[in-house]
Amino acid sequence: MTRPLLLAAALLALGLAPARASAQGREVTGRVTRTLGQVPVGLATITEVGGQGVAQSGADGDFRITVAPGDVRLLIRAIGYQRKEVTVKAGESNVTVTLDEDPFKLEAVVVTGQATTLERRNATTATVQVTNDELTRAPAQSLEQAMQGKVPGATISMNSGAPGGGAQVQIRGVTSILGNGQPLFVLDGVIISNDAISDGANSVTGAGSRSSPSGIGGIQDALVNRLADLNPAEIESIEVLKSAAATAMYGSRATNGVVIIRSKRGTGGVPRFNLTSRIGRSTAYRLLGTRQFTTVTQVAELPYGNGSTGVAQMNALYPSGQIPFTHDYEDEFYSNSHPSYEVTGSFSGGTAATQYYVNLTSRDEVGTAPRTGARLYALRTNVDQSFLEGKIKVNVGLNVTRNSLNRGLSNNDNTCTSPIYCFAYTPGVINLDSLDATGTYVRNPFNGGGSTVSNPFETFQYLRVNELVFRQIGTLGASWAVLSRGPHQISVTATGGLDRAQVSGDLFSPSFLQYESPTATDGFSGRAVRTEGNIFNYNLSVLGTWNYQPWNGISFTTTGGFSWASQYNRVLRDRARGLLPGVETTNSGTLRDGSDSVYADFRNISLDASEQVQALSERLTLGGGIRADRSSADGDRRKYYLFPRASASYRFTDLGDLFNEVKLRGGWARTGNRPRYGDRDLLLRTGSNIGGTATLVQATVAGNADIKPETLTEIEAGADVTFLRRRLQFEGTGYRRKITDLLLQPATIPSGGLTNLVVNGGELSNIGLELGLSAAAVQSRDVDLTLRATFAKNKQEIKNLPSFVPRFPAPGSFGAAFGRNYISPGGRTTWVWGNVPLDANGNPLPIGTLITDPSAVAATRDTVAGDANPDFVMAFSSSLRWKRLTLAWTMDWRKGGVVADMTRTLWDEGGTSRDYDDPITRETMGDGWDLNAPATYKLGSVTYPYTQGSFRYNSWSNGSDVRAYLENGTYVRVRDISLSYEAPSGVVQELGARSLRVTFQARNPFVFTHYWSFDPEYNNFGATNLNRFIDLAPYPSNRQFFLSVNVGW
Amino acid sequence: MLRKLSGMMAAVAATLGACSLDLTNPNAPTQSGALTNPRDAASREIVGVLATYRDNRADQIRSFGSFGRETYYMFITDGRFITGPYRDWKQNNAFEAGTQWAGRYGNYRNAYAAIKLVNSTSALTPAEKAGALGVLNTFIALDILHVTEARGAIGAVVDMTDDVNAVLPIVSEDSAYKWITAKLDEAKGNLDTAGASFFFPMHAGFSAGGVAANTPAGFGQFNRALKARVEAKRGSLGCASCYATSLTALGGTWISDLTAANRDLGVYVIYSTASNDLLNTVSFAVNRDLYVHPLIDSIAGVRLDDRYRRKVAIIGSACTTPYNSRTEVGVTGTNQPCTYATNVAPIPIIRNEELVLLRAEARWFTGDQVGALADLAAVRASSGATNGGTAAVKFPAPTSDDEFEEELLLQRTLSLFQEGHRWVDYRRFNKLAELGTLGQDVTAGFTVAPYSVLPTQECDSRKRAGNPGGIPRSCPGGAP
Repeated sequence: MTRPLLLAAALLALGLAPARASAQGREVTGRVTRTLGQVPVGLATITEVGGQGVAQSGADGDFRITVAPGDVRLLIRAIGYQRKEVTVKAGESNVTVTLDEDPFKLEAVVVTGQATTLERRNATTATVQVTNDELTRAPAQSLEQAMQGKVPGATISMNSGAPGGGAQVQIRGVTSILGNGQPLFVLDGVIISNDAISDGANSVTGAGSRSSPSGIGGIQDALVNRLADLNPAEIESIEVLKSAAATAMYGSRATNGVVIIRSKRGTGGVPRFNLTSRIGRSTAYRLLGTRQFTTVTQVAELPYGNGSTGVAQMNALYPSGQIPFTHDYEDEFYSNSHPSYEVTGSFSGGTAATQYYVNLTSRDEVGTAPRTGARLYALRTNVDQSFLEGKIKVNVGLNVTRNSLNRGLSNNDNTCTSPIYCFAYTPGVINLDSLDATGTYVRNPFNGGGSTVSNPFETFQYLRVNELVFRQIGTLGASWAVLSRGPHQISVTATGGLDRAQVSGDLFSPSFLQYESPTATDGFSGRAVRTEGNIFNYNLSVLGTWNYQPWNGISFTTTGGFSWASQYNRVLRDRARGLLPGVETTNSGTLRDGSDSVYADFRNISLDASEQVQALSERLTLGGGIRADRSSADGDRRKYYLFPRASASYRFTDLGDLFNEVKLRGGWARTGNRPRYGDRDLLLRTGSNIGGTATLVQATVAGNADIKPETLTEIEAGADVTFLRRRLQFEGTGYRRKITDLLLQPATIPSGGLTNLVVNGGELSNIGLELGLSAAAVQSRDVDLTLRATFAKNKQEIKNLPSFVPRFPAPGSFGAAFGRNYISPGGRTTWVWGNVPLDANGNPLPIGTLITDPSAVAATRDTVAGDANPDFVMAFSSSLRWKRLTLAWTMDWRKGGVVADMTRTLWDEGGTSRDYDDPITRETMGDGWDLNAPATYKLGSVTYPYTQGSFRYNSWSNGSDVRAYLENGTYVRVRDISLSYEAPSGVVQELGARSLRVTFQARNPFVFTHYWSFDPEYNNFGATNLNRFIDLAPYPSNRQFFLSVNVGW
Repeated sequence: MLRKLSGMMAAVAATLGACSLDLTNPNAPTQSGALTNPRDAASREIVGVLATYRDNRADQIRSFGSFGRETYYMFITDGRFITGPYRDWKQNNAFEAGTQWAGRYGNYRNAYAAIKLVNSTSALTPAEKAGALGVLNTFIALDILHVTEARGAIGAVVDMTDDVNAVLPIVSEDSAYKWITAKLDEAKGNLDTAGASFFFPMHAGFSAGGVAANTPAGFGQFNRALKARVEAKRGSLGCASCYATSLTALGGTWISDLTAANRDLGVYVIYSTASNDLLNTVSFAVNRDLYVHPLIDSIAGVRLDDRYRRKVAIIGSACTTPYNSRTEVGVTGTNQPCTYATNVAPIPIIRNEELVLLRAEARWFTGDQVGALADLAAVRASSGATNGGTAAVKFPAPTSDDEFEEELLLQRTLSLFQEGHRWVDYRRFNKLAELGTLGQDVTAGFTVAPYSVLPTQECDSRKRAGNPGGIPRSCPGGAP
């Protein structure tokens, strides 16, 4: 019945609509509008049912189609609207079609292959699409933040509240332990970089060892991953492929999911201008507060002598011994109230053959800490051109971005320079934000004083940590309708492009800063680090598609082709320590060192073949394919690894008003995750130099010349049900994934002299459930109300490890004292292992027993102390329109999952936490504690009463009971809200405009959680597959409020 | 057209299929790359062994300093560097647990690989090979000596094979010392046929200390000095003939009666601020978190002893920056050590003052009590009282072995402060309990570790292999 439909869908997706005139046809003109409000609907596809006519409506909703003589039926479809068929009688030459909105986006096109698509209603796998409206509901620090709460089954976490982003995405649980764990991001066919490069903050913080060149920068430097350079304003939609059956077309890079990003394109017609201005500000919230100090003695007696070094100064400051007021340093520090803004201007237009879209955005996100912020300029140009009456179509896109990030210091440190870390050890009894008589900032006298600590107010005033990124992404797509004869349609498409980023880090720490003078703890005064990261990725794929429709109601689409991808990422670092005063370059220091590393250098070649069948009037859809990949990362570079996929769906239609339609779907596929760069190499290593001689030593990790990709096999089944007169839609998907040939780095026996091997082996399993319920609750002239709720749950198990692989802690943690994931057969990857005191029978004792009843502790064992996996995650979103007002919001709820709140450990250890002096009660301490603490404890020769802070800290006992600082990470939060007002057309026309919208926007306006520190989703180590629950002195969370004005001409 | 098209596609696919994916990894040297110049590769690998030995040396001094109550490592925000060695030392994953294990075997692996390269290449003459083997075997012995010192009654693994995952037996402390002394003798044999010079560069630590250990002959003296040390240890642990062997070995060294001028003659590891070189991380300049253990501060008469005045950062020492006392995990340190003042101060491996102390010990236990006491007197005079000070003394004229041991331990404590001896010395004379008497340590629940337990990874690896030879001592389920 819908013979050309599939072809049209396929060709349209390629921008290939053939506008061929049929010699014996007649012309029909028409207009497509929205039922409510008569708004023109652009980009609607009009096809002649059973005939060859195909057309597309312009931005004004008008279309022109050539159809067969006599009565014809036209099928009109547009994304965001329900499809409609209308009859055009033989004598009619003009038709007006009104479309109802499609709240469930069933008409949207989803990707099924690198050159094929399907309508979402027929999709054989679980699909998620996020539209521009949803992405830009409120300004976001990065694309990930804009996606939060909108992708069921994906865990999207910001690593901190620092301006400019830094986030991680994990789709359907942990898919790799040591390999890459981030999804593949594809922008208009180009595989883009999501690398993160340190600017050298570790040279200041010493979070990791900073003495050798490898310690110039580190993983704890609050890195920004390169997705932060993308401008949400120029993105049309994001499609998140979660199912292996959908991602397998990306072969050995597909286990972590694929995120398909489409940029906006021109729609033709008269030029249209659009200007959006937003202005607002960030405010820090959920700051930690401070303990209130009242006497000098109280400060002098802080644990660990944290206060003792400042006693002389305090006695001078407070001769009476009484302290009237305690500074809340954090509140004073994270108070930058300069406005943030974003201005986006775009214009688009064109002719039938040429369409263009140009967008320019300038965004300045001001951080809450002094002199921090993220500044983005982005220019995008997209041009679509067709030749030979649409037989050849070419689209070119170019995106140029300048992204400048000043994020200061945060996270772990060992030099008291990361503000949250340092404030934890600095009682608020002197005014740090002040200058002394000589004009320098007052020195922080506490916690050792001198250069072992810093004054963050001074540090942020003078320290420069800048990351400047120039990025160019160029995309090129071309398609050629080679042949269209009878039931056969053949086309060839080529898609490719490049992604180039220059990441320049600029760190300058002047020698007069407190922690640098007279010398920093590494023996040098003043330091400068230059970092040049060069990222250059390109890829190309060429595919041929043969569409065959032997008779109505059935079609076969066969695709075959190849692709090539190359990735390159090299980082040069140059560091000088011991600078001359005022000199910022690296060639003037006492000690200059540097590093030169290739982080990624990959080439991949793949061949792909696929078949897609639609039959039984589109009720049955079958898809299948196979991809063969070989990669420079594999041990055997000549070997092709095969990744097959198969999926199917069947729709039971016209079931009545209660259940309108039920679709059952299922899929099976295998995907891969290629080895890391260098895993295949058997390497020596350069040792440290001695006496001027460079040395060779054994690599501590032995490479493996037989290494191969990790393999994921997934079975997925689901049902999509539309019911109650198409007012409600339910989507449910269950999956079971098995990941084998895991990349493992088992520890060798230490007495053998190496530390690790690289091998494939073991098995992980993920079982999960994703549910969604959407409702178009009200659709009327004055009121639209849509509601959506999603639920996701994933459970992971480590099925087995090879017998020669010992259980091992996941990389990136602080050990058993603070908790970490352990890769242990039969366990969960999300279990948090750490030290727990046990009784004589080996049973865990209540938390606090080390203090309350130390004699009961028979042993302390590194064992499972909690589970970081949430019980479930739910998200809710809604859009309510009342006349010209629209209210939209996104909210999510994470239930359970523990977080290692190391931030709180610091504040308790420093004796400055806000509840330090509070009484010990069941209500404040939470469950699991033995509260029968002795009344007092001794420090040195002095006796102190136990309070909440000292009790908690001493119960932790330097890491002997990890549970003292494991907290429940449950939260409910509103991610974004927007309230917009669409000006009436009269007002708009008076202003000479086409449209005018005023919007109030908020990001993260409300969070409800019992979590003690800032945010349970933060992670000190940035993007990691595991150990994602370690909160350590991050840049604090913030909420943002904006007022936005959008004008269209 | 269709045929043309498919032909084109096939051609491109064939081109791609043949496309080379051979990228080289420039980040680290490869085995095959190194073998393009085997002579230089061998040279670099040998110096790599010397460098890696040095890399582990400062950590050894820091951790032995904690176990042996020379210093508290008061790391500014992490008390576990104290509680690890002082309190939680039975835990296989505590801080400083397993010290001098993996790192030392890592260097053993370096030396093992270097020996294979030296033996297999034709780019070296027999004498050059002998010189290389002499140095490598000496350093294998020295690395395993440090393993054994840290392990005490646990013993050590002494063998190594090509299989990096092989579970090799842990031999007893006594067997380990025997193996080390035999390995030193093997090395000496190599050195004796090594000609006049080495073909690889010997860093300044082998020559700048006043001993020409940068030649096979001079390095042979260094080898004998280590032999003397090992034999003395064996003597104190009950080997009847070992003290005599120690005296013999001392005869092959640069030992001379102690004076202020010659007490530091020896072999050192060196540091530098040059790129990719290391700084001395137990120096006053680099590490401001080390504090002198109060047991040292409270030795009777110590504040007048020049050794104390040299090695503690008090007014008059080389480290004159004002200091602050620090309290962490319930204990307080007042002074910071100044044994190594600058960030490039070399750390001795062995020097004349130790040789004289070894001779005193060996003389006493071989019946030459007069000679022994003369050596101790020389140490007090030439090291403890050279700059207007008065040397601390406990038993100027010991009348029993016990009194001699007490006096020897006192002099060794002060003369060899922060050289990695005090803990091992108190243990071999069975006097560890004396290190656990400080009031604040007792209050904090600190106890003296008789050894640094095996690291978790070693226990786990052995367990997975079925614990051949039984569960090792100090591993979970094994003997304590």
